[in-house]
Amino acid sequence: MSSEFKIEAKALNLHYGSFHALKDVNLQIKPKAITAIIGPSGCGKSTMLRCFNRMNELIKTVRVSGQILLDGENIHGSTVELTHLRRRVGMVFQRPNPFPLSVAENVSYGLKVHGLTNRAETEEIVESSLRATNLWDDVKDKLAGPALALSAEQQQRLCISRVVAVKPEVLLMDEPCSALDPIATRHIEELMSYLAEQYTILIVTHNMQQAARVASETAFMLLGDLVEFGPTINIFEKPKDKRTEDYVSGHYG
Amino acid sequence: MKQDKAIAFALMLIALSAVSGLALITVFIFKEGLPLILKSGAGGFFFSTDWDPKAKQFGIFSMIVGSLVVTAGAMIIGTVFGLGLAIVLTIFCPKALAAILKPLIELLAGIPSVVYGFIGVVTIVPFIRDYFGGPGLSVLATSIVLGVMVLPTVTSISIDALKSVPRSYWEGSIALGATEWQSTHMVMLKAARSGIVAAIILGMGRAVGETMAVIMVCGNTLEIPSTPLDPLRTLTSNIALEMGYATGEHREALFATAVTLFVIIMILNIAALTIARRGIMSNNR
Ligand SMILES: Nc1ncnc2c1ncn2[C@@H]1O[C@H](COP(=O)(O)OP(=O)(O)OP(=O)(O)O)[C@@H](O)[C@H]1O
Ligand SMILES: [Mg+2]
Repeated sequence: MSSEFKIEAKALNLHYGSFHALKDVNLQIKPKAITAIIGPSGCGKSTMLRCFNRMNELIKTVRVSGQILLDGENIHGSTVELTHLRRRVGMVFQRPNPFPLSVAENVSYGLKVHGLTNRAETEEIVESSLRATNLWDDVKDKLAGPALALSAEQQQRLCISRVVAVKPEVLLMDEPCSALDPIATRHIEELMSYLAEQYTILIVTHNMQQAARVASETAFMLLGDLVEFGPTINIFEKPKDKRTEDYVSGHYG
Repeated sequence: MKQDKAIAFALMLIALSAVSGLALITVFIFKEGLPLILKSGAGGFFFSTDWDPKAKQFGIFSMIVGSLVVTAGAMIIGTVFGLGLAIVLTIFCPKALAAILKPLIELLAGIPSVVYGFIGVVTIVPFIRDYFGGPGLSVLATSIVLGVMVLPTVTSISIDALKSVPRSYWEGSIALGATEWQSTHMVMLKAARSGIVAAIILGMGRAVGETMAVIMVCGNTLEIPSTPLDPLRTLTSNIALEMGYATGEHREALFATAVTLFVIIMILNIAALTIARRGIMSNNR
């Protein structure tokens, strides 16, 4: 059962109808580390990420083959409960998407969904989740206020708190900073590094400096292929593949 | 430039005449109806159940109750089925099927009300008479007919409200491990709340104001119904039934009934507009 990797993708293929979006991808994600997925627009980064919590299945035309192992266990297995999988593998989206509820209700949403009814416990987790993302001091007086009134950075932090509240093992982040200004981006990056002590984090980013700053491992994708994967420093400083070299040095396209 | 001004002037004129036409109708109804209300007093008009035009008794209380009761019944039926249908069509059924069904449901709104009334008389009324007892012409029959009639309004506006909820809310909820049903009632319905409330209130306006179908299935008696199987009379059917031969104070009393109806519907429409507008503002924040 146990494996040195938190997540392994084996011979993963994904089709949108007749379009082959992921081609025979093999990937190993180390636990409690940040892995970045980079590559030009449309190469399949988001698709890749959404395989790990099976969000692609919301799209009717999608067909997936191959294996994804979470702690050595196939997430496509017949005994796997989707709701349970998605609790273990949380996701943060590109645009902050807090629900049109209050700040506290956003954080407690996942708890409620998974059946926690104890109020004291809920309040405790709401606070600790907001503290974990450094949002508590900003919102502790506005817990009952609308989440949509927060700033973009605060909203994104809230979305991270919302995921952290259900105690996931993996955090999937799809360009979590692309709607934020540079300072807010820095803050979220610091937060990611801090969270990586507890969680396995996968981040998709267009920003190569960001990958270089936060990720210990980096995967480079192109047109649905995983071209190269390894320690971030190798990808950026001594890429093996010519295509990786072109991309990281800005010659791509 | 000159032409533009001329066209603008013409349009302005048309708009003004439409608006002033409406204003005139309003003034007319109130002018004809208010004196009688003032003369009879609130107790003699709104709160008296004694409607006897020959004896100059004009109490419309039983009709107010009748209108409110069947409207409430219709809204229960219309909301349960209309909102249910809207949820199924936007969230749980294939897009292609929804694309066919929604216009079909909207088409139902175009069927003349006399047809609904007729169908009610030949199917629902005898069914109720045979299986539940009473005359069949009843609160229940009227509520069902009205409920079906408001269904298209409630469904189609609720669908629009649900569709306008950003897809990212749905994805965010699903990604947290919520089931589709949890995501529907904990996020989607909340986010679409104001649109749905507006849909229900607009449906209510339609139910309160409906006349033809109601006359055909309500029985038109003058007592306050005490069970769902009792017949009743509504404000609208009162006006329509007696307008043809009413003169003098009797005629004024019917206008006064119209004033009552007018005020009720105005209140409903204003409520729907305010709630819908508030919803739009909070979605854009
Ligand atoms: N629902 C869909 N139906 C059909 N094709 C899709 C769908 N979603 C994505 N694709 C295609 O799959 C490919 C990969 O898309 P994906 O969104 O994963 O790219 P990406 O690397 O995340 O791009 P970006 O950097 O722009 O976010 C693209 O060519 C896209 O057109
Ligand atoms: Mg993407």
